[in-house]
Amino acid sequence: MLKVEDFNVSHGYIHALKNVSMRVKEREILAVLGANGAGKSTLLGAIAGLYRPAGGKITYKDEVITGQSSEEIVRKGISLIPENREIFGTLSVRENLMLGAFHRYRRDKGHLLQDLKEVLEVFPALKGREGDPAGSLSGGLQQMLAIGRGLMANPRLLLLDEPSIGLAPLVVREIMNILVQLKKTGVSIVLVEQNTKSALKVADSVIVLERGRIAHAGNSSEDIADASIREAYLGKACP
Amino acid sequence: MRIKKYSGLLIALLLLAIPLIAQSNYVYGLFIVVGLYTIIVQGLGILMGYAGQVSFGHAAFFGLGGYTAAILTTRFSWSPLPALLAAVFLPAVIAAVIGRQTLKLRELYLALATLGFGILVSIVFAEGGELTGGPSGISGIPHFQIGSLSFDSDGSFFLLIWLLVVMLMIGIKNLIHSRTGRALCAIRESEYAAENAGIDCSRLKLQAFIFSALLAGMAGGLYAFYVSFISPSPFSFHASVQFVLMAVIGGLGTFWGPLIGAMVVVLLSEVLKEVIPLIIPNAGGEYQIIIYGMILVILMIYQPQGLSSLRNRISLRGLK
Repeated sequence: MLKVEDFNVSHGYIHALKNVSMRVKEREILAVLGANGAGKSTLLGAIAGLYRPAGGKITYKDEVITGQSSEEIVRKGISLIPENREIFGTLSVRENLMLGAFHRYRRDKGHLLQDLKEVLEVFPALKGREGDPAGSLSGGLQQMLAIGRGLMANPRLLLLDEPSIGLAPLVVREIMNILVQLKKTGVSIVLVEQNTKSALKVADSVIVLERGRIAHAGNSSEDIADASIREAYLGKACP
Repeated sequence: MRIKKYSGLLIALLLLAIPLIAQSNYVYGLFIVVGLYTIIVQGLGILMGYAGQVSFGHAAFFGLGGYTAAILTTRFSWSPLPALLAAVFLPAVIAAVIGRQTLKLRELYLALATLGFGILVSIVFAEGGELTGGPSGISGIPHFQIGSLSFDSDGSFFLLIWLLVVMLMIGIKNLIHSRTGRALCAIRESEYAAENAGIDCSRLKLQAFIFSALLAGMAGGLYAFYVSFISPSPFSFHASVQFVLMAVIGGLGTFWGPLIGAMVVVLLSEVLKEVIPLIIPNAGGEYQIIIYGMILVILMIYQPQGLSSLRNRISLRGLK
């Protein structure tokens, strides 16, 4: 579904991504792990069209999307849920969700209300809060809203940047369960996480980034079983 | 609840009734200036309050509108209506050209770029030779008229300006509750997230900038027809700061904010002119400036969201 080949991104003098290659299959959750500054968020931003590449190619559903604007990429069915949620705090929950479908107004106007209903079915905790300012929600609900806003774009590929950050373990578990449900509906997911334990539980495959390079790529259940990989990249605390 | 919903409208109508009752040219004049500034600040409110972009150069667009109308009517004998349309069009075109570059800048850098533009334009007005009349300006600008309908009295001009203000406010009410209005709010809240949501932020910010320049140009054109003489001084950096002040004091991102901000800033200085000599006899103009400044500082400390949010505070207190 998504193929990244020899991809390079520079932030000024910093070479953030170095010859990164990876693939995401249909209905797959790919976990991207690594320490702070490893290039995980840059990788997601580059796929979403937020950073211009210094080299390499991204192909999505057999179409080269390298260098396209984020607006065009959202239209193609790739949606990024940024780190720290980045919800629109003064707007209502409903307005936030509808903004996720901004590019679909003309094309799909008739389906938006139905989609809104379906998103609220995925996140029942948001039901009844549609008129509330998004900034008044708890961290967990804000994360759900951010994912819901991404889903309103009707994506086939969801890019999630650290969805568990600052959330209670129970809420993290709930969100991870929702990701598994989304995968079943046909959405592929690239999940950037520092919470390796939670990410590996739901991921089908994993890549580990280290200083902008892919240090390891493999099947997540094998990685959990392999003690040397666990110790080298994922931390001893990992199950 | 219904009273709260319509309280803004009721207060605005009551205030607008003052000049109609007073029937004084001085009062008409004050309210015409408030109306013209409201038009500018409405545009600036969209740019600053909704799109989250700061401009310290809107006096330049105001001046470009004024000078376009003045030059076309006095030097090229255009009739007022097409000259006004040109006064609206030219600042919009210039905003489109400079906005494409300056809107890539953020926060302080954008403020500095627009400030530089404002200063540059005011120099052009002052040094423009025969075309702009230099520091002496242009006189003999005709009254505004549409066909045989002439707005040559203060009363008729007052009605024209406030008809435009009301129409503009209805349009802005629709805009801020539309998909575009919500997208502008999204840019203000987080440009990064707005881009991720598929919003073309650059295009929308540019459109907001052009819209605000267009309104400033329209106000400038109407101002020229009203005062029938223009010079560079009303379009200086000081005026740009005053427009930003009106937007902030009224309340950024609020519907009534621009109107309240323009009214408070214009009327406050006039009220102080009358009141201060009564309290401090033989007081000079500097007392007015000091007290005016102090009132604005106090307003910003105790009401940082702007005066239009006072309504919510009062009604919340009433509920307690």
